[in-house]
Amino acid sequence: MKEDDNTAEDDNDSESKYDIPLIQRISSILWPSFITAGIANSFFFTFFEPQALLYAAGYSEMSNIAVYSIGFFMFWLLTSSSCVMTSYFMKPCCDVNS
Amino acid sequence: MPKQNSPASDEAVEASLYAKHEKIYPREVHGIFATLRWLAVAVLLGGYYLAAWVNWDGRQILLFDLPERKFHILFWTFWPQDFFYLAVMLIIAALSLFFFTALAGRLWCGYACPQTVWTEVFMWFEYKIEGDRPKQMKLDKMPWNAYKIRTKALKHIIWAIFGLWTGFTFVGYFTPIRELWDSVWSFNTGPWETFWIFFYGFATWGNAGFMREQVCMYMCPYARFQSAMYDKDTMVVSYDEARGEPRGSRKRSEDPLEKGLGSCIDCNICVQVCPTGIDIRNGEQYQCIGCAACIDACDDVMDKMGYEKGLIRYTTMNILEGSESSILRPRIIIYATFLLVLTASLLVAIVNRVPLELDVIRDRNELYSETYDGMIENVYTLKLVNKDQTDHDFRITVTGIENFTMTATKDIVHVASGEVVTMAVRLKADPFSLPSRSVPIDFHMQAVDDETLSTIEDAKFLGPFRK
Ligand code: SF4
Ligand code: SF4
Repeated sequence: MKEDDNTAEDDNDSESKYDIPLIQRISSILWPSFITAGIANSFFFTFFEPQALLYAAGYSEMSNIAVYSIGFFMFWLLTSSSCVMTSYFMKPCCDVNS
Repeated sequence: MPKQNSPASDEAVEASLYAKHEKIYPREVHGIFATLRWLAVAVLLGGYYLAAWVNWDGRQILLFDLPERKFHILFWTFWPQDFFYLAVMLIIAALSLFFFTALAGRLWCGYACPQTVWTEVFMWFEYKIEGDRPKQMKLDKMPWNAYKIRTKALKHIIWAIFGLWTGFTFVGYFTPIRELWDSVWSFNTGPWETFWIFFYGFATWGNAGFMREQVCMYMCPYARFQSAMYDKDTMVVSYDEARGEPRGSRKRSEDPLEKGLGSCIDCNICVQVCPTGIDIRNGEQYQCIGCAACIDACDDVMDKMGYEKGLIRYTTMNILEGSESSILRPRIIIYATFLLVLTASLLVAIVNRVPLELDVIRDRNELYSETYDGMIENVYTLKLVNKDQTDHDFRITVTGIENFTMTATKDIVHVASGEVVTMAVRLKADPFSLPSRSVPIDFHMQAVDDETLSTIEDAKFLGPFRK
C-alpha cells in the first residue's frame, strides 16, 4: 500500500528533482539491513555455539550451515523491518493528511 | 534463479524498477588504464576462482569452515576466540581505504571493487555477444524477432552460468570446495549450500548485469563519503578546463587558435565511454567512480587530432589551479605510518600467537569448602583448547600459593588438534598459610613435548575471612 502512495505522488510531480527512484527506495531498505544482519549474525555466532544453542532451546538436529542461514534471515527480517519503519516515518508529515 | 529469466520478463521488471533510469551503453575503451583494469580483473577474479582450489598440507589455504567453526588462512587456523585478529584486519582494511582515497581518489572503485570487476566481465560478454555500443542500442530498439531472442537468450545463459560458477566458488570458501564439487555433480548438495549458490549467483547476475552503476549510486556507502577524504592534493580524474574550453568541433587541419577554440573537440566520446553516464567536463561529480575510461578515450581523440594527450587526466586540484601540489603531505604520512605500524604488529602477533587456550572457571555453588582435616578446598573447571595443527599432551601446574595439594582428573591431559577438553581440579591449602581471603594464583598449561608451547591463566583462591 505504501508503494501505491509513492506512485500516486510520482504522478503528481514526476519531474521533481527530489523524487527518489524506486530502485533507490528498495535498496535503501534491503541493502543496509542486509549488511547489518550479516554483521550481527557473525558477531552472534562468534560468541554462541550453534549446536549448544540448539540443544539449550530443545530443537532437533540441524547442520551449522542451516543454523547460520536461519539466524541470518531472522536478523535480516528484524533489521529490514526497522529500515521499513524508518523510511515510513520519514515521510513528510504534510503528506499524511492529503 | 538466473536461468529462467526470459528476456521478455526482464523488460517488464526493468520498466517497473527503473522507471526513471535510462540504460547506459558504455562504449568499449582501449588504452593504458583499460589495460590496467583488465590486469586487476585478471588478478582479482583469477585469484577468487582459483584460490579456493589451492591446498596446503591437505586442506584449503583459504577456508572459512563454518561447519567446523574454524578459519583457515594460509597455514594459520583461526577460531571464534581469535575474533580480535579479525577486528584488527578490518581496521587495517579501513585505513588502507583512507590512505588510497587521499592519495588518488577512488582507486578502489575503478580497479578493485567486486562491483567494477564483475561488471567489467559481464560487459565483455555483452560486447562479444551483442556487439559494440551502436549495435546494442539498435538491438534493444528493434522489435522482438528470432535474432533478438537468440542473442539475448545466449547472453543470459552465459551470464547465468558465470553467475552460478561465482556462487559455487563463494560457497566453496565456506565449505570444502572439492567435496562441494563432488556433491554438485551427484546432485546432493545440502539445501542451504544449494540456496546460497543460487542466491550469490543471482546477486552477481543482477548486480553486474543490470544494477551496475546504480549499485555505486544507491547502495555504496563509500561512494557517499569518499569525497570527505579528498583534499586539493588528491590525484583525481579531471578535465583540464583551462586547456579544453571553449570546446567546439573543427577539422583536423584547422588551427584551433585561429578559430578561438580550446583543445576539446566536443566529440562526446568521454561521455559515451563513461560507465556511470556522466560528463566529466562538468567537473567532479559523486557518480564518477574514477575508472579513467574517459582518460583513455580522450587520449585517443587527442592522438588522432595530433594534440597533446592529457586533456582529461589524473591530476590534483592544486595543479589545475596552477598552484603547488605535493603528494607527500601530513595526511598521507600519518595514514601510511598508522597502516605500517598496525600491519606489522598484526603480523608479529599472528606469528607469535600461542595456539593454546586455557579457561579457568570457579565452582559457582560455593566459594570454598572446609575438609575434615581443616584444610580449605577450592574447585575449578578447566577448559583446555588446543588450536595447534597437531595433538599434544599437557601438564597443568599452579603457582601463587604455598603448602597446597592439587588433585586433578588426570595428571597429563591429551588434547587432540582442534579439540577442547574439560577437567575438574581441586586445590587444598592450609588456611594458616593463606595470606589473605582471596589469593591470586596462576594456572600453567604446558605441552609435554614442546617447551615453547605454554600459556598461563590467572584465577583466585578463596578462603575464610580472618581477623
Ligand atoms: S573526449 Fe576529449 S575531446 Fe572529446 S568531448 Fe571528451 S574531453 Fe572533449
Ligand atoms: S567520468 Fe571518467 S573516470 Fe569518472 S566514471 Fe566516467 S569514465 Fe570513469
